[in-house]
Amino acid sequence: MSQKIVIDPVTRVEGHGRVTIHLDDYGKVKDSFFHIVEFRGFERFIQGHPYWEAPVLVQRLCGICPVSHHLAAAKAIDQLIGLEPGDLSSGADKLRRLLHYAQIFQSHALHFFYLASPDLLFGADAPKEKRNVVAVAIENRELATRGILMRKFGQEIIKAIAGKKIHGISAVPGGVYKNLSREERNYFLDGRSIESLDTMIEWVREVLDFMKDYHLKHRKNLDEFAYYPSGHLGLVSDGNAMELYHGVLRAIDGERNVTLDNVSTNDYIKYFSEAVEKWSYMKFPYLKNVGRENGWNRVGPLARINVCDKINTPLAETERIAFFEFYGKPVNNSTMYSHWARLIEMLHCAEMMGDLLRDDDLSSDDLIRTGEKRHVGIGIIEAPRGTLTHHYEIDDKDMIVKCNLIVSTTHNNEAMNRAVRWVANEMISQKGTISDGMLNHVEMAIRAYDPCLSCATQAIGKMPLRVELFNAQNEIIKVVTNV
Amino acid sequence: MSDILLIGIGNISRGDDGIGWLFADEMELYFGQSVTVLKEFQLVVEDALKITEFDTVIFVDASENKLENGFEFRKVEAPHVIKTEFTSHAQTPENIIFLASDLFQNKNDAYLMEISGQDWELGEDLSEYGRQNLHHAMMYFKKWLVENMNLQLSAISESG
Repeated sequence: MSQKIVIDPVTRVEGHGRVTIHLDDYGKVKDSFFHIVEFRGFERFIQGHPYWEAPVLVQRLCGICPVSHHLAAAKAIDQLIGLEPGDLSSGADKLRRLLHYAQIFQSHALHFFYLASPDLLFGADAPKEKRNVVAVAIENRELATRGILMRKFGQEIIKAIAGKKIHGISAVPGGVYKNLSREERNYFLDGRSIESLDTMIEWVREVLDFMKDYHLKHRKNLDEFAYYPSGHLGLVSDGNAMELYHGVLRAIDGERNVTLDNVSTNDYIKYFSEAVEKWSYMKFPYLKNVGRENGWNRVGPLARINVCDKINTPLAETERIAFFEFYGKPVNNSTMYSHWARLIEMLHCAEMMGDLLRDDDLSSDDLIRTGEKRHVGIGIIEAPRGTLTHHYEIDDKDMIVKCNLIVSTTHNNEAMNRAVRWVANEMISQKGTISDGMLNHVEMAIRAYDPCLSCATQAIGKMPLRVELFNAQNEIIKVVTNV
Repeated sequence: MSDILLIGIGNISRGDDGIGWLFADEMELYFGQSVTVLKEFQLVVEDALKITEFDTVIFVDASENKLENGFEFRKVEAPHVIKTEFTSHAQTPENIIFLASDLFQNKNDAYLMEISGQDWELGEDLSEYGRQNLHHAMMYFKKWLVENMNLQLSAISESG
């Protein structure tokens, strides 16, 4: 009798997902799906609003990365008033970048310390009540303390620039509304009131050392777990350097053959299409020139480190080189290396924040530029979870008539499905049932992408996950859940 | 900065789940100079660091429990044995106190004001049941602040 397993909801991800695994008469995995079952429809209800409201409205998509939505929308709105990113004043551009790096820093800290570290410290087979940050605090006080303080550091910079840690406002059409004084900048550098930027760099490097040691000890598992060749997509700047705020689109396949090169973000729509499946509200973006079957791409830290040829900050570049020397191949398709890549990005962001906080342009009063109105605006940035696209069109009365959002987790939709399929085939197939440990392996594969399902479906987020096991007659024979 | 932090927990868009925020708004109105007020959808891990800046912390949350008098006000202690949950997103006041004590050697006093509600639907206003319980809880708490935290009545009337 064939069976179907369902995991619903997935824990320690942002949002609500459900996994179903179908077994055949012999207990072998026949198929598996990562379902996204919620829908909110931001793209629709933002229509009819004046364009200048977009950067404020769309950040309500998410409580984790509102800054990313705020800035992607702001870049698009700049175009609606006739400005390209290079047209902004130096001060405005740098303030937005500082905000962006702080956002990625705090979001990556959240993911690594709060969501991923229980997997690394306790292992996938640990009891579910131990797989959380409170247990991490009990077992490893220093790690938990640093996690909290690193997240706080990024959030404090966001608050200094945008007024609030969550859902603040900084960007306005053509620039930003306030600068940062020298005193405000020194607050993050001198270490008198909070841990300094230099301490952040030191701590990230120590966590990186922990991660390298962890990979040495668990190499085989980390190399093989949820390994599958895929496309990788990200922004790069001159010389194919890693770029998080503004650059050109670049993609490679699983062998590092270039599938998209030097494409302006304004032209994304010529190169991408989105497929739909009846079992998920989340779309499946792919490269038109490669096709639906093989044109999907991973995005996020692992993809970004794969598509770039270098990182323009010295410490992160040293770590990038060490990352590939350790792996031994020019492109990394091993899902669990996402955590290591995420830490390298934290180091890069810390270095960039240091450079910017010491830059007097951040205290400039030249903050807003103006231009000639256009009807189409496109903003693409690298959000913590990957490439994020905001596309707006307005009418003659400045009202939004079209909105297209391709969020990072949407790009990773196919990749997460492949990850679930890998776990199902390797760890569940022919076992005939699913244990709590197997459930967590499914979750670990999804969690490596740090998915934000609320963003991806614009859904009101619920967090928990559940797995259901179905037989050949499509009857549920077992349910495993973490709630 | 005041020595008292009041954290209202909830969601104003979900019926009686807005009780925590409305309580916080009222206390900010009456004791704005003496009480620092935060409103959160849920308690998160970094709140453990935030509360170390204050001598006293008050958590205020709506409850599905049908409490005698419609509310309960009690001291919160760090548990000897922590009860961990599967999620890292939403923490209990006890977990926050535990983390603050364990990670940051926090020794402040913490209290929980738990107020009974009954309707939690998206887009709904407070139920009459929730509104009455909120009113009684606020009356009790204002008096408690004056009597136990040495806040002066004059300060109340000046700011209120």
